[in-house]
Amino acid sequence: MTTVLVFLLVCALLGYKVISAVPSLLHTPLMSGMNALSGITVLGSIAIYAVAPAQIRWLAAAAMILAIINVVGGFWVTERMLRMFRQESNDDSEG
Amino acid sequence: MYLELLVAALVTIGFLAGIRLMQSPETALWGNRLGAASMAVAIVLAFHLTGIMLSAVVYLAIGAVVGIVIGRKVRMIQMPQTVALFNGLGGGASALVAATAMAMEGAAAPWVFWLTAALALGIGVLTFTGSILAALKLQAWVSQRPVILKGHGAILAALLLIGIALVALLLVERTPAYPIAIAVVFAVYGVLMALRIGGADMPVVISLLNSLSGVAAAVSGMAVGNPLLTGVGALVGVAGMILTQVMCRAMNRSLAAVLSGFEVKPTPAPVSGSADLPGDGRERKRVSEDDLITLLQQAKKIVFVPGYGMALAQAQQSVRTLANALERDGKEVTFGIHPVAGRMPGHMNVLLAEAGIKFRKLRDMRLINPEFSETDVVIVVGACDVINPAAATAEGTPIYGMPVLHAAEANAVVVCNLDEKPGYSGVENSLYRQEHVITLWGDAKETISRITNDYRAARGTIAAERTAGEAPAADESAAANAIAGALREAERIIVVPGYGMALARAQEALKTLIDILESHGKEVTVALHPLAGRILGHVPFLLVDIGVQLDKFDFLANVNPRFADTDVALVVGACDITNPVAMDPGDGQPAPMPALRVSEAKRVLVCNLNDRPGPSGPANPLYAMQHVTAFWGDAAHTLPLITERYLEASATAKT
Repeated sequence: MTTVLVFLLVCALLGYKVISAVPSLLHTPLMSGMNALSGITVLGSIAIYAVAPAQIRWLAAAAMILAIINVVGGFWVTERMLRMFRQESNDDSEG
Repeated sequence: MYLELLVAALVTIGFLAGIRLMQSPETALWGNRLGAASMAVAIVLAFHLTGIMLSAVVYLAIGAVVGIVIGRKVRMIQMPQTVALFNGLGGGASALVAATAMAMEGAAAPWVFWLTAALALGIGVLTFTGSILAALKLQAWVSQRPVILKGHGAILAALLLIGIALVALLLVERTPAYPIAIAVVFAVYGVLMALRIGGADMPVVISLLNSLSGVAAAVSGMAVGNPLLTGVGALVGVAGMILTQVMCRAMNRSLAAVLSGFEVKPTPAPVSGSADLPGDGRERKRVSEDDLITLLQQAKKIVFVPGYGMALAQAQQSVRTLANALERDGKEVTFGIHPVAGRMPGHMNVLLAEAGIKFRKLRDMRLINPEFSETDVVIVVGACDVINPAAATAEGTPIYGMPVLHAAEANAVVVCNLDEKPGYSGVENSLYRQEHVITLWGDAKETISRITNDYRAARGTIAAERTAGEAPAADESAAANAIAGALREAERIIVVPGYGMALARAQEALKTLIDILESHGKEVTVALHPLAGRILGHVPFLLVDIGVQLDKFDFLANVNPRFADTDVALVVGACDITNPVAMDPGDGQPAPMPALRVSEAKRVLVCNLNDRPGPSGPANPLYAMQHVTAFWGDAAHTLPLITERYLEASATAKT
């Protein structure tokens, strides 16, 4: 439990530092990226699926599916958005 | 155990480094990929610890496919509801993990477990129902209006108390009834919380739900003893909290005030400061709609202020076309973005980037505000509350003290909004009544396109006058008149652009002429030949780039049968692809290449540089045909002249 709490504190502090520096230009991609990260629960669902007794395994399975949709979809839309922000250098020349 | 911790630390560092890369648009894409890669490593680690389970892999594959399908399909304007939906799924997953853990653990498990699991269940369920309802509202499947029940606040407070009491009871007596009750109570809480949120408050709520989905993951991580879940969940929680704060500050309302919802009451702007400008004492000319084009022509610095109304009118492309037209004339064009413009943090930037506007032109409020006083023209597109000068003066109204874009400080302001009704706050916009403001009510897409056309037409005339000296040469004038006359009589017109158009940089001039012809009710098609231009699809690309709509294009095979039925074929800088010889070289020889059957049109108007053959060699007999009128010269010069003559002739005909 102590490790978990220390981990939580360190992450929250470091997170605060890096996240506050993201410019408002990128707030939507930031949010959908963080959104994908919130699907980290997928790890918990995998771990618990492995040990859950048969009659409640479906709960863990459902958690797994929801979480992975969150993860994959979240990273995917973020990728799409950020690509739009990068197309700058190639089409700077006019005409 | 050590391996687990080590990998957990590495994965977390991967996420943090990914976010670090998100601080700049150039590196952000790699930041996201680093995040995704770290997640993949974490999942592999999870399987390393449990052993590969085939059924789990299948479930993950199904979910991943669903995620990809959603991720590919959504449009940028739907991003807020997409993020809300994903939030909800993440929260739901955390709740399910906690529920599974509770079902497995006996009553003997320590109280810390039961406390964290119950909290994860409650927060997860709340996130799930709240996010799903928010997503439904944003998608407009559920009414977007805030629904406020009688005693809404009291009900929510009561639910929260009941929820906390249930968690406490669960710690004392561990029966399955309590977790179920907790889930139900928090589910209702989520629904009621999202129910009273209206459109413009959504950025705050989405950020908050984003934060909660992280908190749910963090607490469920504590319950199942997984440090990675806790750390990363906290990361997400912090990010969501930061964005919630940013949004609240930008609306000058506390989180509690946003969550308690508010009913929109129309508030008149205060009398003071409505007639005059809020005190910078600079004199400005009174302007009216007739001055608009002159203002734009004289302007050096132009700032667009887009609001969510632009997205609703789907006017991004039109805005981009106008911005391009202005930039091509050497004007400085930027975009001033208010933090709460749109339905989630940063939404407007994404919508503009999608329309192909470069991010270097997007300025956030703090950067753009000092620039307004040196700005010649501000063009407001579908934005109201975020530019309302009354925010500084209208004490007691919902927007009082809200930081706004100081658009009013520019020399002239053009407002292209749907109507003069107040924005979401219900406070009347005192900007509309100021003398240096031109208001153009109506669909922003149409308004902006009209401005673009007028601007181009005016510029075309000036350009023609400049290049042609005092007066165009007599034969030039005659040719322009002949072509303009033919265009006036025509109803169905097919435009045939070739690489000569690109060489002459005449796309803008051509687009102007097409727009004018269309606004006069003529049917205009742009015929495409695969070989026009230097690379495949080159000419259409150049035209789409300046805003010619895709549905105007028609390809070789489709358009060829239509020439016979067409009044005028207008050839601009195209030779070989219109050559009738190419179609039928005679003597039974096979045709070297398919050409556009331009000569079959009732009249053919040619705007090429000269009558020399194209790169493939054979002279074009088209030029000598009876029904063909040619106007030799640089298309960037001839087309504006034709446009000018066309407009003159139309104007004389009217009077």
